[in-house]
Amino acid sequence: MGLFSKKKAADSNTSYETELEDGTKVEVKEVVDCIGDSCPRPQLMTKAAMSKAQSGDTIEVKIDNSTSVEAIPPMMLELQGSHLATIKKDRYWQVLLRKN
Amino acid sequence: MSIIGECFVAFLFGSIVGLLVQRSRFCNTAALRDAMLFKTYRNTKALLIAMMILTIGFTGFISIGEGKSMRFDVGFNQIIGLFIFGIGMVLAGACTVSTWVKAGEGNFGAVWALLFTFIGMFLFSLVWSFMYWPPAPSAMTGEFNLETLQLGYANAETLQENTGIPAIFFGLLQFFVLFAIYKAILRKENKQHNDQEINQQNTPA
Repeated sequence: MGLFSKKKAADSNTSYETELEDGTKVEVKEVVDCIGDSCPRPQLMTKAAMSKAQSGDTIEVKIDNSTSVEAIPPMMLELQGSHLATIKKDRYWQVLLRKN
Repeated sequence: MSIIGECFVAFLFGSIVGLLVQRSRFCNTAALRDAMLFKTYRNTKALLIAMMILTIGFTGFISIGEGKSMRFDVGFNQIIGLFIFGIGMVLAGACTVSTWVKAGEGNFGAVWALLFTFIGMFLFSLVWSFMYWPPAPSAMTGEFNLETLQLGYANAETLQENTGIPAIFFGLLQFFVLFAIYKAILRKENKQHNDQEINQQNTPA
């Protein structure tokens, strides 16, 4: 929400493994928490995370804002990445991206 | 049409526009920002199509002498004001259109932005009226006046009155310029997709 919202805890840098719909396992290197952020902050944070990531790394972005969820896959052309999956969780979307 | 009828039609069309803007995720800010920042053109194309339809419809109505077109004074105050608005719109993440949509969706940041848009406009209008320079409202007469930095009215209706050429002619000129930009974006998108396919073929699976 930006104004008058609480500061978030630092992003967890511990990598973990998650499973895609087709059963392939991917190791998520970095989690970007954008819950509560309005458009365009999730896109900017994704851009920053993708430019830092090494080639082949998988990034998870947590977004609860439908506009940003839809805007991220077309951005991947510009950021040299690919969109793996968007998984709907109970209160956010988990967007999985891989740096080419 | 009676005033109440006009209000009802305006409310109906306004509601339809609001519904379409919310469901389509249309955003003027994203149309300009995403094209520069992320090189995605979904909203830019939508904005261009909307502008093409509006140009033809608007100038068409003026040509046949229908409609109530508004007259705007154009001056350097617009150029400066729109530049400030552009900065504010990118920082707020939305112009007034999307701010209304976000406010309706329950985003409190947008409610604040909307509230202070009106407070800011009100405060600025107070300051503006007190001074002659920068240009005061009394300088906005619709005539060209360099001393007060006013360029006069600039719209299709005044062009039609001053030149005798129907407004639709100027509308069509603008339409073709917008269409050329639209085609250029489509070409660029095709090129991006082709590049991506070549990249995918070159990288081993």
